[in-house]
Amino acid sequence: MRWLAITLALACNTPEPQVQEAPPAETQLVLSDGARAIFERSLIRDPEPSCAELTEGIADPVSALLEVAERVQAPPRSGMRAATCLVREHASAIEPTMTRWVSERRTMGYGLLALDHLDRFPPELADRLSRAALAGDFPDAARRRIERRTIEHEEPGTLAP
Amino acid sequence: MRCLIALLLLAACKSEDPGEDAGTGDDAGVLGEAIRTNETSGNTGTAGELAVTVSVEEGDRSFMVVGTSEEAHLAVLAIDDPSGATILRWQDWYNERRYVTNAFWATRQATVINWPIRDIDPALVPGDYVVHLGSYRADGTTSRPDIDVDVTSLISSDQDVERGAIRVLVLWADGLGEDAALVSATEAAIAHWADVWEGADMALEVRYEQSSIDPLLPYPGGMGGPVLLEASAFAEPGEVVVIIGELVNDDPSQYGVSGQLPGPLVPSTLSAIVVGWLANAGGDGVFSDNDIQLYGEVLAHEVGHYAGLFHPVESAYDAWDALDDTPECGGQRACEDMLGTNLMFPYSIGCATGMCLSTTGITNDQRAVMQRYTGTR
Repeated sequence: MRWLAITLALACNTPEPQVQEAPPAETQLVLSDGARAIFERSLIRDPEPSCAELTEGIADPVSALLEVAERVQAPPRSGMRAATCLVREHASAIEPTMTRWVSERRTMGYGLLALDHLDRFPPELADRLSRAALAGDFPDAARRRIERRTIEHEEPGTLAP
Repeated sequence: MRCLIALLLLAACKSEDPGEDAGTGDDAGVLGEAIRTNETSGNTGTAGELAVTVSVEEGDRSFMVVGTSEEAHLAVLAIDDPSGATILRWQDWYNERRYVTNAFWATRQATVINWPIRDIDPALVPGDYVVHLGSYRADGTTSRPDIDVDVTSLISSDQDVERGAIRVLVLWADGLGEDAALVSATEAAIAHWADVWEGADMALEVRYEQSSIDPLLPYPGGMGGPVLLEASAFAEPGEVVVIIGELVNDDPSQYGVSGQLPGPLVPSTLSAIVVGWLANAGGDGVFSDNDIQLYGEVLAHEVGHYAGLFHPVESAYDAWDALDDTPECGGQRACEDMLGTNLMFPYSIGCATGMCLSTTGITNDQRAVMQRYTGTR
C-alpha cells in the first residue's frame, strides 16, 4: 500500500507531511543509569541545574559525567554541561582525559572549554595542560585561550613549549 | 508566597500621587523607514512614578517605551489609552502564572514595554497614550522616589500585521569573525533561522560587524550591562543586536540569552542577545549539520524572546505564556507531546537518538506577537 500512497502523493504534487518520527529503538543511545539521569537533567535550560543537581544521588558521578561527555551527541549542551562539571569540580581526577581533550582535534570543544578554565586550576595542572594544548592539534586556538586566561597571572608566552 | 509578599510590598509602596509627567519630547526623530522616536527625560517625584505620554497618530501600529536610570530599578505600572481607560496594569499580571511581558518586574535599571502585545489587545487609536513607570530599590519592590529617568518612545506606523521583517546585526566578539568555520556555520544557522521564521511570515535582514568585545560574554543585566550597552552602540536604528561569543556567563552550556523580553530597540544595558558558539558546537568544537540546525533554532528562539515571545510553558510546567493557542499543559509528558516542537519550548526533546527533534513550530498567536513588535517592519 505504501507504493500506492507515494504514487498518489506524487501524482497530486503534494509534499509529504514533515512528520518527525522517532527512529527505531535499536538506534537509541544506551547509557548507564547514572549517565541517563545526568543526560535527562542536562536538558533543562531554565533554571539550569547545578553540577550538584546534575549528579545528585549518583554513586560514581565522575564516571557518569564522563560517559555523558564522551557518548552523548545531542544536544551539544548536554555533553558540554557534563564536561563543565568535570572541569570545574574534578579537574585533577580527570587530568589524563583533559590532556587528551586539549590535544586532539576531535575533542577541540572540550579542549577549549578546559582552556577557558585554566585560571581555576592549580598552577601546575594549568601549566601541564597549556603545554599539551600548544603541542596538540589546534595550537593557535589554544594559544589565544591560554593568553586570555593567564595574562593576569603570568607574562604571555611563558607557557610556550 | 514570595510573589504575594512582593505584591503586598509593591502595593504598600505605591501611592496615589501621580508623580511627574515626563517633559515633552526634546529630541524627536525617525528610526528606520516607519518608526518615529521621541527622547525625553523626567523625574519620578515623591510618588516614585513617571507618566510618559506617547502621541499616536492615525495609521500607527504599535509603540515601545524604553526607560533607563542610572540610580534605580524600573518597571512599567500601567498603560492608559487616549480615553483615559487603563488598558494594562501590573496588578492584573504580577502574580499570574501566565506571562505577557517582563516589564512589570523591576529587576534592572531599565524597562521596556511594547504595545499592543497580542492580537487580542486593542489596536492603537489616535491620541495620547500614557505609560506609567515606577522606580524601585534593588529589591524590585520598594519604591524609590525622586529618580531621573531617560525615556525613548518609538512608534511604528507599519500597518501590515500579516508579514514583516526584523533587522539583525550579528556582532562578532573579538577575533571570532575571522574564524572561517564559525562564520560559515553561523551563516548556515541564520539561513535555517530564516526558514523557521518564515513560518510566522517574518523575514530577516542581517548584516555582520566585527568588534573587540571579549568572547567570554556576560549574562545580560547586572554586570553584563556595560557589554550590552557597548554592543548596542554598533546597531543602526531599529536593529536587533546578536553578539556571537565563545561562552556566556562562563558557562559552556549556555546556548544564548536574550537581554530582555521584549528587547529594546535603542542602545541600553539590555539591548542585545548573547550567544555562546561553543555550547552550540559541542564537545568536538565542530558544527555538524545537526548542530547547525540547533544553532539556527537557538537564534530563532532567543530573538523570538526579544520580539516578545515567552516560553509556551516553563520547564517546571507551572507557568505559561498568555497566548490562547499554546495550551496550558500540565506535566512533562503532556507538555512535550503538545508543545515540544514549538520554537519557544524551553528545552530540547527526543535527543536520545543523537539528534534532537526540530523546534520550528510557531502558532498564530505567537506570530501575532512578533508582527506587533515595534522593530518589525
